[in-house]
Amino acid sequence: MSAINLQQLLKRIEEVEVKALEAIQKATNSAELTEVDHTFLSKKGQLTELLKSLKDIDGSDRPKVGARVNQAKAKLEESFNVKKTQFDSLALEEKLRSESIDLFLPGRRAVLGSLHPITKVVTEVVSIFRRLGFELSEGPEIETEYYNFDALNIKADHPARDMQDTFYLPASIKPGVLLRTQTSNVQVRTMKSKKPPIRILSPGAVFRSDYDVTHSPMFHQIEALYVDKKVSFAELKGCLLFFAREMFGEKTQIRLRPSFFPFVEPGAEVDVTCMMCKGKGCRICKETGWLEILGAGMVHPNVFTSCGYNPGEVQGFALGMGIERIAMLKFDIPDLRMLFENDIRFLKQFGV
Amino acid sequence: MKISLKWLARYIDTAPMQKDLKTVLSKLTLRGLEVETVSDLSKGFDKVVVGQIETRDKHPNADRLSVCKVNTGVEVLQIVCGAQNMKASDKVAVSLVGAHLPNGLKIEKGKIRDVESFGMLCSEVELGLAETSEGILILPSDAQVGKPLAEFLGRNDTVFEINVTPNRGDALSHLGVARELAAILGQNHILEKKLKTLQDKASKVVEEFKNKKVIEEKVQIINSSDHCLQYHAIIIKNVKVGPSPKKLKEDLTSVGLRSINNIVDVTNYILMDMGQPLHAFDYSKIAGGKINIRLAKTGEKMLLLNGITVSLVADDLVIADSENPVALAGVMGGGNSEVTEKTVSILLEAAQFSPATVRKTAKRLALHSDSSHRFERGIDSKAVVGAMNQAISLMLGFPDKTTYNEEFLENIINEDNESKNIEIEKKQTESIKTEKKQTDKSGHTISFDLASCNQSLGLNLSEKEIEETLKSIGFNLVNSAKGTLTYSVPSYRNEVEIKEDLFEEILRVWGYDKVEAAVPQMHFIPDPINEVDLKARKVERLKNSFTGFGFSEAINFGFTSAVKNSFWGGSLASKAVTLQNPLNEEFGTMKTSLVGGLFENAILAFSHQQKDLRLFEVRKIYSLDPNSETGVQESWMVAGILTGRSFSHSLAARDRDLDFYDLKGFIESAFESIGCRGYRYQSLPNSDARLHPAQSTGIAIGKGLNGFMGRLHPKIEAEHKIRQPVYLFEFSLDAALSVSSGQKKFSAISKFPKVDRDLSLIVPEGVSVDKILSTIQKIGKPLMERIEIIDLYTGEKVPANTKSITISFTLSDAARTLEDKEVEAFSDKVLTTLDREHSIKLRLQ
Repeated sequence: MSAINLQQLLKRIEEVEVKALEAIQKATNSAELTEVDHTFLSKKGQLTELLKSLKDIDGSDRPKVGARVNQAKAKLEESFNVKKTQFDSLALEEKLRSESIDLFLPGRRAVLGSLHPITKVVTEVVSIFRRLGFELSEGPEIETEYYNFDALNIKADHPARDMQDTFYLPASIKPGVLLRTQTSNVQVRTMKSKKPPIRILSPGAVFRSDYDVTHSPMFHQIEALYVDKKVSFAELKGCLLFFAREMFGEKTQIRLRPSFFPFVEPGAEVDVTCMMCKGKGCRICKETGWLEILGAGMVHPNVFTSCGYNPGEVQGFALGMGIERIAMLKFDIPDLRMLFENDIRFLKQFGV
Repeated sequence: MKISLKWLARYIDTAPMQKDLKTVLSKLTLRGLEVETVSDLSKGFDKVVVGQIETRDKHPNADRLSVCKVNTGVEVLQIVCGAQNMKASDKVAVSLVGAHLPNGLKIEKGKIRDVESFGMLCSEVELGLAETSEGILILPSDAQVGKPLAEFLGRNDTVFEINVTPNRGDALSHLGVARELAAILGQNHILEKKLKTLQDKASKVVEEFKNKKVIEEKVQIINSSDHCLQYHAIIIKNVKVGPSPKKLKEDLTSVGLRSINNIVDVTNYILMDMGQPLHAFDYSKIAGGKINIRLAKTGEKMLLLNGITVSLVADDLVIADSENPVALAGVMGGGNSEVTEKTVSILLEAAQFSPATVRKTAKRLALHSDSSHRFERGIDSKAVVGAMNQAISLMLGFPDKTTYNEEFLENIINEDNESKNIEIEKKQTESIKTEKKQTDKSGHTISFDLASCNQSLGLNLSEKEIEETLKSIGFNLVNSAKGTLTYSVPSYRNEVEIKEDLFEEILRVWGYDKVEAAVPQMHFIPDPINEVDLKARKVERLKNSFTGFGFSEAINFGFTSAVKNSFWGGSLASKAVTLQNPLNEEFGTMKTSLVGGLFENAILAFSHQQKDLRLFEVRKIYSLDPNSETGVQESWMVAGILTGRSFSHSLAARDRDLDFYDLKGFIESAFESIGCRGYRYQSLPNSDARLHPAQSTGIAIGKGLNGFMGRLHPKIEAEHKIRQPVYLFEFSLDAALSVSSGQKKFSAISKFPKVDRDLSLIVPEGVSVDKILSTIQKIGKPLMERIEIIDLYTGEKVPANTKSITISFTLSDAARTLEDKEVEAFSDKVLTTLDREHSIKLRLQ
């Protein structure tokens, strides 16, 4: 290779630099840019080639040329990187764009089942009374007349016994055995097995021989019993009010009316503010503003006596309610029978 | 109990009620006499009046129609009518233009076949008075033209129905309800006065007829039983039995009773008026003219008023003549001594029978009558004679003929004989009087401590406040000493027996709403752990697991038919409990398994094109157990049914049908969620017709076979045209909870690398995967962190009668890195053991 002088070489560098810058600017995509890199900056690129000419020039000039080449290289690389970043980010954008999905298609959900409305209501009632220190207690569904009636002051020769149409077992199995008509049998069994104070809750299935639009031969009740040395009717009212507000909302009011349940005296029907119309009066509450949902009262002395307590030494109250009625009100279910048909389209509506 | 507002006027001033009925009735409700319905009997009778047909002519354009000119008192209207049963001069019910009849019909001015018509002549059906009627209603000739029809028919009244609880027998009459209303309205003095007037007049009538002893005749009463507390009888001769006077009919109709004849109607009127059941016999049918009150002879037969012949038992109290029973005491009269149009003399009975005795008979014979209803609840022992006197005075009439009931007269008395032929004889035997003292509670007193009353109710009443409160409802203070008050109970409130009953009386009159709700002062109860409560929490968790697996909770009835239970009831079906008195056959047997009910739920779902279904149920089953207190053992079960797709959502590309392993996975996960580990699979008896024999297994939780899972038997699927596999399970909840442990303990998490290995094995047919896994696990303890099956293959690539199983496992040690040769040694040991025990070889590719 013929010797070249410094000036010529510097000029060549200048030319390559300009050409390369131009090429970088012109590059319209990543591939072209790579091409530029290949043409000018790679090991076999033009700038590298120029460095090879160093050997042809005078030694004292070499640092100058070297510096110039490095300067040009730095400049080109900077420019290249700017461009490359541009193309990379464009490419990324493009890639992201191409990966877009329809966000409005439905999610792939886990198949969730549902709890029965009756279970949901029971769970809620239980959780309210647990806060007051009541605990669960249970008893048999097939029961003796003694626990279902006699011990509860529902005497065989009294018409109160007819308030509940009862399913009996044949005497050949055991005489005087029936399907319990109320969860109150648990009261007696509990009191017979322990001393006061007692605070129990007994949810469960009960059975009565009645089947029409408003009666089901099997239905559910939950009952609370509180027995201690001194318990007053005013405390029963306090407990009912607490429950009603927790269950139906803090503005709920209660109204007690005299009624008759043989195992309590005094006894009361408990109405709560109609949750549909907030007490204004509507179809659901028959324009009264009140819904009857509970029965309650002070434990009858005869019940204490049956359970081996001295009625002069203890007092107590009991309250009970039908779960189906509350479920129907709470979930706006129009027909009692729906609760026992188990139509999956019905059950699914109430969720977990 | 239906109460007529008009009727109440016999005892109280009803003006305040007419003014604001709603308020007064709501006070009644708040006092424990719950008013359930209120009906205005004149509803729909607006603009309906009594009219008189002046002329009836043929319609010019229609053969079957008539054109009538009808006088309505104010004007004469032209009305076209389609009926044929009327003639000129007939009194008829005319609905004027604008009337809105009880049957919904609105009357407008119209043209019928070109003839104008200004109203309608009504039939009984259109007026809601009868179910059927022929032609229009023709009114009696004494109906006053122009009078509103409601008034003429006595329907200008409001009737309300009270739900009377069993402790308020006193409220089963107009007098009883009037007493409560009088207390509410501050009209006790009015009621007392009106009552006294009625009583005085009645006594006078009775005295008068007693004194005219034209005919002598005595009723001999023999009361040989303890079940009759008092019995009174009189004979009225020369009666003329016939239809009741209009007023009496209207009163009875208003409270829902049917008019029978004047005699029977009076007894029913008194029953509704005073709550005292009375009975009238045809005296000529009373053999020997004697009344014998006795217990029935076992097997004795008797024809009742309702036409039914009943066979009696020794517990039944009867009223007999000298030979046979003529009435079932307090329940129903006999058919042979019934008062008919041929009756000329009657024996009128007024009695008080033992509530328990009446109840026993009425219940045994399923004969619930208005009479038994009242006797069972106890009647006013002091009002029996008074009630009879009222009845006599209604039948015979008040001499001065100034009273409300004068219309009842003359129909009953044979006019020719006038009062001379009427004889009244009363006799009460000594034995009744003695007995009355022993059992009648009337006139008893109740004492209580003022402080304890206030404490128990949460009130702070003074002695005076209590006195005023109780006095208003007839309870009088008889003694007060050192804070102990003694009150007398009125004879009509015999259910008030103990001080708590009296507290309720105080409370209900004072007002349940006047008790301030108090924060319960509850003691902490330091009980040991409550097993029932703990169990309930686990059940809650189990239910949540199933809902998490996509199951919906079902609640089916605890009973089913015997046929269904024998098919679906499983191994306990032979011990099923039947009911003595089921509603119907479908509900006659207590379930011994829950799956039959769930299967029916699935059939229902299929019928609604719901093919993806997962249902579970947690409920008791019942089986005979002679050793238990009730003869029955109750056990909690968990059961379920599942069918359809595994994912059932549109974007699940992997969607497939649920299979046995889904079922098994759900059950095992559910067990895990409640910490139940002590279960194993065990083969089922072949006889279980419910399940696919090759795709079902028993589950033994703790001790014994107490569960199963598997596919529904294909025969059942075919029978019900089910075209997708259906899976069932059921297991004992009691057993699952008994082996479940909630206690969890920390085990160290290894910081060192773990080793994963897969082993592909050739397994001879008949070796269960279970065994392979447990063998490997045993060798691997305690290093085995994970073991699972990742592939299962049968086919050409493996020798006949074998399958290939690939097992993947992870070994780790919390304290160190496992060495390669250790792992190799483990694998070798596994392989030799599997080979020795089950002839399992490593699969070489």
